[in-house]
Amino acid sequence: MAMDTELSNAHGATRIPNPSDRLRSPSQQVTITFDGHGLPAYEGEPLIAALFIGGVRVLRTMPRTGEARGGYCLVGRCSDCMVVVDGVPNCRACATPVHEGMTVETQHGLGTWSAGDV
Amino acid sequence: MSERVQVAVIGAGPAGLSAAIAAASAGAHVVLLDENRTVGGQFRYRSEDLLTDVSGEMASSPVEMLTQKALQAGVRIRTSCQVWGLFEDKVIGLEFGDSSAAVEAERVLLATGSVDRSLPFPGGSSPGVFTARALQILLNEYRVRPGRRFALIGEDPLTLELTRDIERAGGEVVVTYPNPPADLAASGDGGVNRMIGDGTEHRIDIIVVVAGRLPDAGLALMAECAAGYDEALGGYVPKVDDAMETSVPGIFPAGDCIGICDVSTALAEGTFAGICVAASLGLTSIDEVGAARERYVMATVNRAERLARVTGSFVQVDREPMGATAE
Repeated sequence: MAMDTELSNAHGATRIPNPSDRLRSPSQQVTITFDGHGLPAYEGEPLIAALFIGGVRVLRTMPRTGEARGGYCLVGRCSDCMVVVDGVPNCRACATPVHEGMTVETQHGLGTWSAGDV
Repeated sequence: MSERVQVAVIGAGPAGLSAAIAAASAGAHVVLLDENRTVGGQFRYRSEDLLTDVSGEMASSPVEMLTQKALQAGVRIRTSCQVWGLFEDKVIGLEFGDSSAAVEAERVLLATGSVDRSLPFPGGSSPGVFTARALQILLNEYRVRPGRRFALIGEDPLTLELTRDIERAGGEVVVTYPNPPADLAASGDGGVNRMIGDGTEHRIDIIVVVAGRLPDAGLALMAECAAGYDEALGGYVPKVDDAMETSVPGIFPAGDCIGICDVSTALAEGTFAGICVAASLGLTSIDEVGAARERYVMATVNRAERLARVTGSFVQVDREPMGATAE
């Protein structure tokens, strides 16, 4: 597993305590990996939330320019948060629920499909 | 899900929820579809202040109350279900999880809402730059603060709401530019950490673009509903007759997708459109449509003006190029 991402949280991403009436029903804590780093997450939460809390900012790089992208609209429209999830590229991190043991990788360019997925 | 439904309501925000309730209460069989994990649309992430304002009219948590009303009226609610197409004969393409289906609906009520407008500037696509709604979803729905120091770009009543949201979450608004400065630029390795504006460099973690909303009329346009460009409504939107029906019989839109509006208007317009759908199925009298229109319009002065705008004539106009402004 490539460890090509240095995760630092100098920008201070953090979970916010829940106010009374928007309590997310507490779900089970699970572990996912991002480019080989283990990250804590909550079962069923949007993947992008767990990645941000883990200090991840770059989710993909663009096919032609190689520029970094890290999510923009959060409603499944912009394609900036596409990552490789369990070997499947082009998964929107904002619209993919977390599960235990989920393996996530930065998507470079258009991504490649693992053998047998097609 | 069966292959035929009587009424499919697409989008479970304020307009869709109230439309589903109104149609089902009149006796229609209604399926309410939403691509998100939970219903509520903007109720899911707008600030506490807005929820309090609307709750004043509705007496309790809006989403909870609307959901209960919908279920009591017999509405079937399907979340995590994305409508990706609207075809001839009102066939809708659905995607849920790993499967896809085509469902024929006798009536389609579009309540697809709106999306954030964007603002281009150097570095404006970098990680750490978000639209206003993206930030509200992170802060208020997912309970994630993506950084510590924020810059807000754009003039909109929403910047005040965002400032409060950021401060409540323990973040700091370092700078707000009501108008984007000509030299606006962001930079940083692996995500923004510096922003230039009016010759000043700011140390920031997150830049929020507050550029207004764009009606999400994609499904109506795909179904070839007659539409027109109206800047006051937010862009290129489908037009309706005085009973909320588009030029394509059986398709009724309501809320932001036919013109950006406030939450109270979306709720009231949804109710009116839901009654129109019921009437078109013969479940409610035409007189009831008139009474419902009266109730919708009488609430505030600007509703009559809005109804006049959304019920423009069925003249197909050429689509304006991106970023163009109409007179």
